[in-house]
Amino acid sequence: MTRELRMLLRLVVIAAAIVGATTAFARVELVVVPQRENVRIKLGGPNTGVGEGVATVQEERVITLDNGRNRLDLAWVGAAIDPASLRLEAVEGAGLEVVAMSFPPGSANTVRWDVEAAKAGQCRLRISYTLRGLNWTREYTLVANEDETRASLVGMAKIFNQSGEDFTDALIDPGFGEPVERSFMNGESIELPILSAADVRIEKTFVYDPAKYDTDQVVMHYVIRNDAESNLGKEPLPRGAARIFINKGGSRTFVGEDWLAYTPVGKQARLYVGAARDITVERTQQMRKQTNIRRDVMDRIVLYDLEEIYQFEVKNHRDKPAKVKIVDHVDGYWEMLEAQIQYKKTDAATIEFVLALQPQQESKFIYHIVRRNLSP
Amino acid sequence: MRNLVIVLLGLASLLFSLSPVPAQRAAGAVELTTVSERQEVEMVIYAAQDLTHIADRRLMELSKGINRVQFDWADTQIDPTSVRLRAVDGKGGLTVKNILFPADRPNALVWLIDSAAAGKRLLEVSYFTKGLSWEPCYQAIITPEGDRMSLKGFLRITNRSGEDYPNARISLVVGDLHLITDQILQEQAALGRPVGVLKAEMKEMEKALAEAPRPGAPPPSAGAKRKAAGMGGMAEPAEAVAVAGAGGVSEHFVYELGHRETIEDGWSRQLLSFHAWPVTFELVYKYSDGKHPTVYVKFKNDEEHKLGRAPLAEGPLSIFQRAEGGGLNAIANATMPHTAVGDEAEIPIQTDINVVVEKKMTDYKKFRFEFDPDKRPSGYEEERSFRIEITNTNDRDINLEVTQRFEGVWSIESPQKHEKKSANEVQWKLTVPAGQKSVIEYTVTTKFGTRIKAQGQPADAAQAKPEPEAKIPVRGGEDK
Repeated sequence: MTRELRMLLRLVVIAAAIVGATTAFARVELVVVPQRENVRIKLGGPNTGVGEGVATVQEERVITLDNGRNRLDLAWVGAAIDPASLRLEAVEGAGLEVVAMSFPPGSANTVRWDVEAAKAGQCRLRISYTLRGLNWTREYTLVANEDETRASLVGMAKIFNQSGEDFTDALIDPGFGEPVERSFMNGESIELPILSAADVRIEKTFVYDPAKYDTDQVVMHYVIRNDAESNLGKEPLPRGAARIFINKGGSRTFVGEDWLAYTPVGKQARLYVGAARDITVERTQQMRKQTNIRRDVMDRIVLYDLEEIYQFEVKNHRDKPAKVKIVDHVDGYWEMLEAQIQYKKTDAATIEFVLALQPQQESKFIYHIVRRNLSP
Repeated sequence: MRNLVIVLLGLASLLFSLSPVPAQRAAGAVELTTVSERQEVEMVIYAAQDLTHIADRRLMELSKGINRVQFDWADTQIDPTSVRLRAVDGKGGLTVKNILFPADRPNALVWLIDSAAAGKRLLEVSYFTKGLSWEPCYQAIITPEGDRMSLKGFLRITNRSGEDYPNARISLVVGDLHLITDQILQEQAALGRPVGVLKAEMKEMEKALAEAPRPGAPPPSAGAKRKAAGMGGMAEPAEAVAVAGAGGVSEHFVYELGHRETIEDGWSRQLLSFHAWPVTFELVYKYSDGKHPTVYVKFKNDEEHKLGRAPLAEGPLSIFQRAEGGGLNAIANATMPHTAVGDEAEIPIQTDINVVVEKKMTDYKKFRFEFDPDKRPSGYEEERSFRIEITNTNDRDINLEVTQRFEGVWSIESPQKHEKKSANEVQWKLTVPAGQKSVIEYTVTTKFGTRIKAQGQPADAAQAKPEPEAKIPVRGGEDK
């Protein structure tokens, strides 16, 4: 038996004899093994409703039905099919109605359909089910130009067939990119292209945010916007590992890797590309004092304000300009009293400054805030 | 497995087993002569408990005088305290004189029946058994356009009782029963073995069960059929539709299969219970926190939605969408909530990661302090401003309900239209067009301590409801 026969569909034609109130079945078992056709494998993933690793498979088989009641047995070996997910429907030919679906004792790998055919003849059936063991990962290769302003972005789906089932000439649809028709045997892994974009606009950012990145260094990202302006935006980018290279004079230099998070159309992805050695930020507290002190009748402090001044010293040792974003976090109820450069309150507890530095430029600024109504 | 054996002992020995073929095991030293045909089996399967009531009707040739009928239930899950025998042909002259539990035969009993005349009688053996169960399950296929669906309901019946039940009339009951079967068995086990004497409670239960498949106000067709069966006559041949009727008994709901069904031991059988098409539905997005809203399918269990014939019992629901090319794409494995006729089913199906929500607190103030005579803080207010930005990257509009919860004594201001849903909830309803962004902004002010009773502040006085003082997180403050 070839492995194509792993999923065996058996048609049992029944002559039913009614004896009193009891229906006895005189069985004539015709074992037909119709060829599976038009196999489609839709991989599970984001927004498909089934988890990753679970694929929805559908296949068609042409079968000759008797007029009236027919019995179809589907048995499989070694394939992780969820029996509850099995669906049977007629695509064309003699229509049929599924009267009952039965699960026999002792076998988790068999299902029996009782179907009622409106007329005898050929019928194209579609059988669909969910199948475990079709895992897939995504890998991106991003190659940036020397200026780090443009890049090529190629995405591949790597699909592993551990399902126990062989597929010949199946249409494999990862849900991203174009489906590909090919054979896919148990134990194999294959790669399918899901994205190929050239001249993608990227923005390299420099951010100082010790609280968020757990480092005193300035961190660098490539920001990619999934939109038409960036030469992307056709569909969401599924989560995957991204390897990042810089193309310098025709040779690629690997500069790091990061996870590219799921990015819907119009949203941006951020890839971490390391810490900047040539840009430094030093944050120091210049002043801290209690003001507006309120005391109770026992002369104990019950409320006070706290004024603080912070200084940031930023140095760009590169021979290129750099735009550095400096992020600070302040809890509670506060007000800015003075900032030497423009700031943005991005949320109730976050202040952002953006500093554009020329090559080899050093810059300093302070901000002065008051935190109000603190309790001792 | 065919383990139930009923034997008529005596001169004209007659055996019938509960299966249409001869019993696999001979009943001891008893002489076996004929296998009788079953006239009818009725099953009432309860969803909430592992309990099924079986009524098995047989024609038996009885002699005038005392007849001995043996019932043997080895390797089944029959509750021995529940086994009953009665004549159901409406003719009198039959008395169960005695019930014996033979010392040498476990799982067997013998009825001594006094028959006034010789002849064929229609007898019913009834009992409770474990091992049969049913659950509803559903399949929805949404059109490629995504506005309507085909909804199929199935009843999946599983037989692990140890006994085959061919051509049975089956009723399925939704709802809980109060049962003391285990206590009865325990009590009787302590006495050595089960006895055939009825406890008052068992009588009541049996009465309830006997009435269960005879709904008070069933649909006409089902009612008529039930009546015929209840009168002791033979049931008419059933039509080929799956579920004939559905009705209620007390607080219980009963589904009746409109045809006979064979459920062999070990098998699970999934039968179509209804097919509703086209069911219009709404897709509603709901958000309260996190990065993405959850998508709900909403429809009413009523005639307008091609439903409304019966409550939808809770069960697994597979949702597919018909692809343009004809195939099916899995959308979700969800759960149909129990939905009474006329009620709305609201089914969470998935988180839509193509709708991105960014919620942040944009401002915070703790102020408007008040002090007690000792100059300690006795009350204050907190003001929090939030911004919720929703980006719909899908190529279709979405209807979104944003619900935010607030504790304590609070008031809210928002430039977007909103509604107080309860003492703790505010809801915004909006449509986010395809590929667009919508923003909700609000400021919520919460009062603490003596500020709750403060006058002349821009608070929503109608809403403000003083909270117990214990909830006020003012440290060292002497409130009042």
